[in-house]
Amino acid sequence: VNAEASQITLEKLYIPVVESKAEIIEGEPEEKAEKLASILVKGGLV
Amino acid sequence: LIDDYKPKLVMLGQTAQGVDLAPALAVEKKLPFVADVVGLEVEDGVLKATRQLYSGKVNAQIAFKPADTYLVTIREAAFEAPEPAAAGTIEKLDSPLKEDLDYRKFVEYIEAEVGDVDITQSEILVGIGRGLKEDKNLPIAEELAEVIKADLCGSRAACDAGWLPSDRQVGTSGKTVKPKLYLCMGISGAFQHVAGIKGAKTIVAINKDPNAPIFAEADYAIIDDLHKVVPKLTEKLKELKG
Repeated sequence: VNAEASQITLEKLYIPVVESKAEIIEGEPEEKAEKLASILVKGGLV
Repeated sequence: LIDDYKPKLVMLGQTAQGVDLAPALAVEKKLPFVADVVGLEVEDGVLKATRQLYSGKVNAQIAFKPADTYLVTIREAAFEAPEPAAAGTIEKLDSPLKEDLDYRKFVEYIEAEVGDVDITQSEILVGIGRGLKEDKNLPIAEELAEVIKADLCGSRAACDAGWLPSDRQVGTSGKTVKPKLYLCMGISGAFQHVAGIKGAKTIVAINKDPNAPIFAEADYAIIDDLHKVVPKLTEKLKELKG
């Protein structure tokens, strides 16, 4: 590969920060499941 | 136009036409070219483009070497549309192209086949992705879907793996859906998939990778192993719904 001839240069690779507005449900797996189930039912989503 | 106006930057959409035209244009006019750009900035007089790799998990920043004109294709919806800073004028130019291209022609539109379920009309969708790991785990999602009366759909990875038929695929190479609830598990949220769920009213994402791009779209997020959480969720929902 003739790198000198390339018209572009890869400057850096990075892991992008995920900007989330989500409500993060915390706890042990069972707690998380319970909280989400409650949100879904009380919110009339299911 | 490039010869006549010598623009500093030529931007084409990362569309079927843009993808077709831009590489040939770059070769023909010897332009520095970066495809599928999601960010552009000028730093110390050097134009730099950002593009995504590995389904959005890694970003690459690419610098252009100095040139009179740069060429990029821009990913759909990657930039906000601010108010224009300066008033431009529209100049109408006649196309020099002739209509008698004989190497290809439009033949017909073919409507996509609709399977047993039309997921574009579903009120509640349970989406599965590569994180489900194997088809023997499909009942985890099926049982949840049954309890909340949802239809199953999936990412391209799930459909390519044969876990779901292709008419259940959501995303740019599948369907665009607009359910009131989209509950997805093991889906990283590659832009191709996310493009298909923009119309969902509420998005719940379950994924063990805290950096999964799906969380940028979600209203509710559980960062955990779906195999531990989803069976419990199904149980709890069964109890609550009686």
